[in-house]
Amino acid sequence: MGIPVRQALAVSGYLMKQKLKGNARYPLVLMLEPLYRCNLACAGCGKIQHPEDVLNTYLTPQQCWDAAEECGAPVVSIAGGEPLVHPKIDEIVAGLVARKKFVYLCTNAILLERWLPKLTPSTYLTISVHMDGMRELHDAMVDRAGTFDKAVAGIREAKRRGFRVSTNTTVFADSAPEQMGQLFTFLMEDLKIDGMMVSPGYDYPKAPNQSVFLRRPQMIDTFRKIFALPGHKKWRFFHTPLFLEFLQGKRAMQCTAWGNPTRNVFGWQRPCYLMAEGNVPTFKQLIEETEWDRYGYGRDARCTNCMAHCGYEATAVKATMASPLEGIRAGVGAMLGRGA
Amino acid sequence: MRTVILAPMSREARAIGGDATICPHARDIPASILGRQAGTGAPPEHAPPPATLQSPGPGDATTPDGEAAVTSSEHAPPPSTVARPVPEGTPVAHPTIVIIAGVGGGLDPSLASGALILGRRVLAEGRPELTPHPALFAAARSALQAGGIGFVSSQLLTAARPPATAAAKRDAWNTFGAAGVDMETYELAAALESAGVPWLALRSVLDTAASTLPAAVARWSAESDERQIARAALRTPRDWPAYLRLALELRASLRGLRRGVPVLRAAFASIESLPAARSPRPGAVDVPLVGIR
Ligand code: SF4
Ligand code: SF4
Repeated sequence: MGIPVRQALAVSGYLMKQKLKGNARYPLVLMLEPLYRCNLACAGCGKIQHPEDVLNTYLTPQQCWDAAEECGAPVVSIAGGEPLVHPKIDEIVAGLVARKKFVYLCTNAILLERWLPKLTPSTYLTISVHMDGMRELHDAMVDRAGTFDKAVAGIREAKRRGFRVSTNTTVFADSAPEQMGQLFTFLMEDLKIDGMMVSPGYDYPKAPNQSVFLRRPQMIDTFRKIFALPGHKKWRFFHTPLFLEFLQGKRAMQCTAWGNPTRNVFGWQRPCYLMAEGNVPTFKQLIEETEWDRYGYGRDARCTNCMAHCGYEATAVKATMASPLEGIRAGVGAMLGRGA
Repeated sequence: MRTVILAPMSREARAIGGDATICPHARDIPASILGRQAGTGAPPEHAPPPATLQSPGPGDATTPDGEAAVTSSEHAPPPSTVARPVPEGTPVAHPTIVIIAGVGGGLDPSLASGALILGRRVLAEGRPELTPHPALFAAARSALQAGGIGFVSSQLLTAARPPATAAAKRDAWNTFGAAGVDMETYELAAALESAGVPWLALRSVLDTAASTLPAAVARWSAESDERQIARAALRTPRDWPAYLRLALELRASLRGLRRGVPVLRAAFASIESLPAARSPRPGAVDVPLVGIR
């Protein structure tokens, strides 16, 4: 479903190795937050509400590389804050690519055109641009006019320079299914991006606007409508078919919070990318000392409305590996328009 | 405090260790357990009114800071004490802690047969959610952890007819977010709650979220007995593999109960008193038809 063959093979090999080693818990994607500073203040963001001294703290490139090696995940998603505000983001990315990590550089693209000359296209690097809707909706969600046009210009320039480009869309209460469909078709057909990621917004208690969040039944309903729209077969997602089935309520899943561990400016965040219950200095402590069974849907009230890919994509990947036939079935279903 | 185990089925009671009381219905809870309910003596049939807990009786003592506490655990309560609401935080003497223990259907797809679910909330469609006494719940969590017993603390759903197919279980999971489902916990907990008896629910997963129950088991109701099921099973040979799988799952599930219940019982034996828990809010939000609590 759009993920490069090299990445798919590397991830499968990694998973098999973990199985052979008998590891019960292992990371798939390192969520790296080298800074919390951002040049936007989106309505649904729960990451930027920190005091100035924290916003002024940045991880060094060495700290970022050490985190990648310490946890060993094959994929690194650089988030934040806005990673392109980090003055050494090019160095960080280059170092991770040199370590053969599949890097997703997540950005709102405001500074993308400025950085592109300093980044090198690679199969290991995907630029993942935040796109929450077509012009009007996107600019409203990020609370700044002109951001959609900047992002589109950045994507075109990145494609022209030979980068792999994906988008990252968060679905909120105001995201009408038709608007989402229009966006996905525009991204695939006009901008010719390599793939898309989509996730329902997590109801961060700290987010400036609480009315933007969907509750779980509404999320399921919205995703069912989105994937029933004409033209959905042409959309390419960087997700497993099982995850897309889950979003539509066609598959029951429990969260795998340890699949996407988060390293931020404080250390390793517990228990997941979305909830912050404190930090520990080492990845080993995170994995071994966190009471993982306390978290997840039904187990913690804060997980009730979470269907985010940082919690559930790892579950979907594990399920696909455990039963490749199921994965193929869901994939074929998706292609025929029955699944995703 | 005295710990009583309520098990809805005889098979569960046997697995737990013989002295469990079999209570398929709230009306079957012995008066000796509900004995402290003031006035009527009869357990309520339906959703609990705001809890009325009693002031400490004989056998209770007063702590240096003036609060009442239980010093002896086995004293019977005075039969005619008048019930009245107790201010939040006041230690109250409960002669009994009840553990509602049994097997149940799995809805959380990450749980295998035999996985233990400690109920942090008990749900029933259209009824106010019930929560165990927080101190008891915390003590149970610590005891299971200390005993190295794997468990999850999650929500338990009670339904007249539990979902029997993988698709129905998925929908119940998406709607309620309950890790397990059974036919009794809510009614038992509601009756105990009304009588001011602290309770806790522990269920062991029988059939997993991915499995579909054989037809006769799926039709099971609170009135069915095991012989009826066995007769129906004999008449449907094509379901025999499913019955065999269920029998193996039942073994694993009962093993789970045998591991968990003694640990809780031992931990609760050393509890002398519990602070009065917050009373359920009158008109607490009902569990909706569609939507997650
Ligand atoms: S969602 Fe991303 S772009 Fe928006 S404020 Fe938060 S970190 Fe910045
Ligand atoms: S469901 Fe998982 S990823 Fe989502 S908030 Fe809970 S622990 Fe975090």
